[in-house]
Amino acid sequence: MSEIHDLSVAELSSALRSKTLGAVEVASHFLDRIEKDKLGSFLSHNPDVTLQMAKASQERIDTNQARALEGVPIAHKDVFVTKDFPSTAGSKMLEGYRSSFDATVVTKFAQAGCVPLGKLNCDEFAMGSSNENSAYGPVLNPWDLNAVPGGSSGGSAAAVSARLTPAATGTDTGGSIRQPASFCGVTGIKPTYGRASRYGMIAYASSLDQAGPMAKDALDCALLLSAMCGPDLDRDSTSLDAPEEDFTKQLTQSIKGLRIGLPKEFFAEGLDAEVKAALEQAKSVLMGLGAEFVNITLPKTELSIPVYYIIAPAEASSNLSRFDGVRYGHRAKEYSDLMEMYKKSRAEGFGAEVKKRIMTGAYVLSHGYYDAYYLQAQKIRRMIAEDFKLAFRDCDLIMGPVAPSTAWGLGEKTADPLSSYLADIFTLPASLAGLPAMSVPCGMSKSAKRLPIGMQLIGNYVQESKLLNVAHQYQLQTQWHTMSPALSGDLK
Amino acid sequence: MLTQINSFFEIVEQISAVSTEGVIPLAHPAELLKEVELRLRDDVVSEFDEREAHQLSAPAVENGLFLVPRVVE
Repeated sequence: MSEIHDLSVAELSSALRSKTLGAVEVASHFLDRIEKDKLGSFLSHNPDVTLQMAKASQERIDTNQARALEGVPIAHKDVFVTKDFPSTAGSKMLEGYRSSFDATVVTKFAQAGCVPLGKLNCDEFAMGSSNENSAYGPVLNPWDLNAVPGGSSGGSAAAVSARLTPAATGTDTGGSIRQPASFCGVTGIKPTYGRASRYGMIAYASSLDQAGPMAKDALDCALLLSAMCGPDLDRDSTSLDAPEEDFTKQLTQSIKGLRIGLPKEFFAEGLDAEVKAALEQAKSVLMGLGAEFVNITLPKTELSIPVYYIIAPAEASSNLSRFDGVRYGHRAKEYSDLMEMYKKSRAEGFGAEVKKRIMTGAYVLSHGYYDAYYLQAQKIRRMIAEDFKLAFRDCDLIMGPVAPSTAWGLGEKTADPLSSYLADIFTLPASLAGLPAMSVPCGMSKSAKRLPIGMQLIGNYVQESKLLNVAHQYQLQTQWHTMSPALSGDLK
Repeated sequence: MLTQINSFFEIVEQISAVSTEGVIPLAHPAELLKEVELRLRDDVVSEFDEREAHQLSAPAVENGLFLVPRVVE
């Protein structure tokens, strides 16, 4: 049998159920690896809590009361609030913060029997594409310790890739699940906006934020997604009123005759040659499975960058006003009055990128600029969504790159954050439209460094099952998702 | 930081060239999926008093109240 950490969620689940493995044994194995981690992917873990949960899971297995994912370990991005672990959102503002409740997604995984391993590093308040904006230090890419893991769910992607956890939660506002999944060679899916509850997810941009799973392959993502989605109508006003779904049901379907759209804007100049070549190969594999390819156009692709970077900061400036140093979070040591207390607490608590986005957001919402920036961006947002609607007349799903390149070097874009905004170009459109989209490993770069390449699949609303179906059929033919970085073997 | 914000607004300028006449602003992707009305939950107690738990992470608390510097003289 493979090493415990190389097993998928599906394999672990059946090994636990058949008692080939014990829940405590599995949890201890991953805790040992987390102790030896040098990537900075975890912000907190607590063996006492984890082992206690693992014991409870084992009791359920022993008494034939096992639930869907009983005993399977999972780690949560630190933007989900948890009672058992601190919740910081990667910010100094929330250093040591303990939530009095669990996020709905965290509760749902607990109710499915998952054992929590701890909390994962991320860009501060999920703002970033490289995980370098975390107040607790960057996360290193397990494939190349000098490269970024992507972001903002960089800790989630790196931890799954380095086999520190079989499964992780992530959140995606403008690509924060898909891009790090691509950079670290794991599979991740952002469902339709509203599928997973945002209750207890520390808000960045509420009309875009969406939770999703990250794991080794599409089957695992389908299992995890089934556990985490479902209506939460009383606690999330934007929760989708759609019944819980078993996302594994369609996995084995043939994809013969399926029409896959290739947006010409996604293959234009600026796309790395190796990424392009990997996608060409993926295309051949899918054609071999009977899929048909059609050329489509998403003409507003480039505009998604300014539109996103107006709307998201605007919403962030409002959401982050709650951090005032009164009810929770950092409070400055010295101040002369209330106003100074607010100002100093926020000046000390937030990092540079967060401050920049709050200021930009406040500016585009201000009197005199509101129409030209915020309202205009919202209008173009509708046009972007309309473009997808038109495109889906000609195809069943869309395929393209996740990012224009493989992971960049640590520090490479810190002096010029704009260049990392531009690198979000392929993930932003689906986010703005609220569509489900996923990242599937489809190659490794050969030239400079051996780094993973991801393929993006974008589906129509609530068509997650179709995305997972295509990804699963693709993974039955390919090995990219099974590769793990050499470093994974050093943690024994 | 000012330089960074200014260069950001240089790419933002391209949105002003887009004709959006008659386009209704999209505040929320949920409305694309189906008609959504503002949802109101039933008026029943669903959360219970957990004052102590909620105040555990507060910077300054006294007698169950959040403390701030004096505002009214």
